[in-house]
Amino acid sequence: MIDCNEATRLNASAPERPLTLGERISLTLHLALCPPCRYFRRQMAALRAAARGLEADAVPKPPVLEDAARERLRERLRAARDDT
Amino acid sequence: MAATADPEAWLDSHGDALYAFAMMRVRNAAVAEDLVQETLLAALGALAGFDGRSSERTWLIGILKHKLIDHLRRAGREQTADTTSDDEAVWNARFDHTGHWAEPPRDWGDPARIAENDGLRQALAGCIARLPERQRLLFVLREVDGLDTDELLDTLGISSANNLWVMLSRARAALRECIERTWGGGGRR
Repeated sequence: MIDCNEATRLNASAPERPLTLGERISLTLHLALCPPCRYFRRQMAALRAAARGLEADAVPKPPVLEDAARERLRERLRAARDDT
Repeated sequence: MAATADPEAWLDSHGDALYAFAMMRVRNAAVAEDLVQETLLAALGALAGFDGRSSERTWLIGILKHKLIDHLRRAGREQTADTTSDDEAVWNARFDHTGHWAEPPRDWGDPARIAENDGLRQALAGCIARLPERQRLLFVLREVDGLDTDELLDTLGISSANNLWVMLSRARAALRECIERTWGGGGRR
């Protein structure tokens, strides 16, 4: 029987890490008996779903180009276009 | 919408979005600015490849993603160790000596529903920004950008799939913990 530490290692590395048959059985048994590890597993699913396509401006104050940076970029783009 | 060959207009319309996209991944203003510049210049040269089926923003973000991966691949060679014994100690501190949770996770409820919650998404974005560099990049490239295992190993110069799984696990466990600390939502313990 695996403990919560081991079950969490398996839950947190899914779905990338393939489980052996033994690991799969151990994890299933552990989850059947352990609500916190079931919550953890569902939290992992929630994180995965929330992260997909998460926009960079989901934070309250997303970083923006400062005026000086914007001007530098504008200059370089102008120069590049004049070259073409 | 048809694209116009005017990188200055792109800069006005999409500059901040491109910059925020880059900053979420590299967190270095100078590097992010360079990536935005490379992207707009490349877009100018690749205008013929823009078929108008996607939005201009999506097209530019796609170019930026390539530029970013090239940048990371170059930078990845100078990176430090993937896993350390400190990380392992942080992991083990979550459990007591019997292997049980020291502080059990809460029930957040249905994953599909909770994933749509604005508060959770904001907490997630904030917590991603607080992850250590390598873990943050790995999580974002994997879960936000959808890179597969081979692409991640190559882009970040991670030495083995096993190390990748360990690093991803640590990032996810740290994020989960940070979200429980900072987000008021979720259910009972």
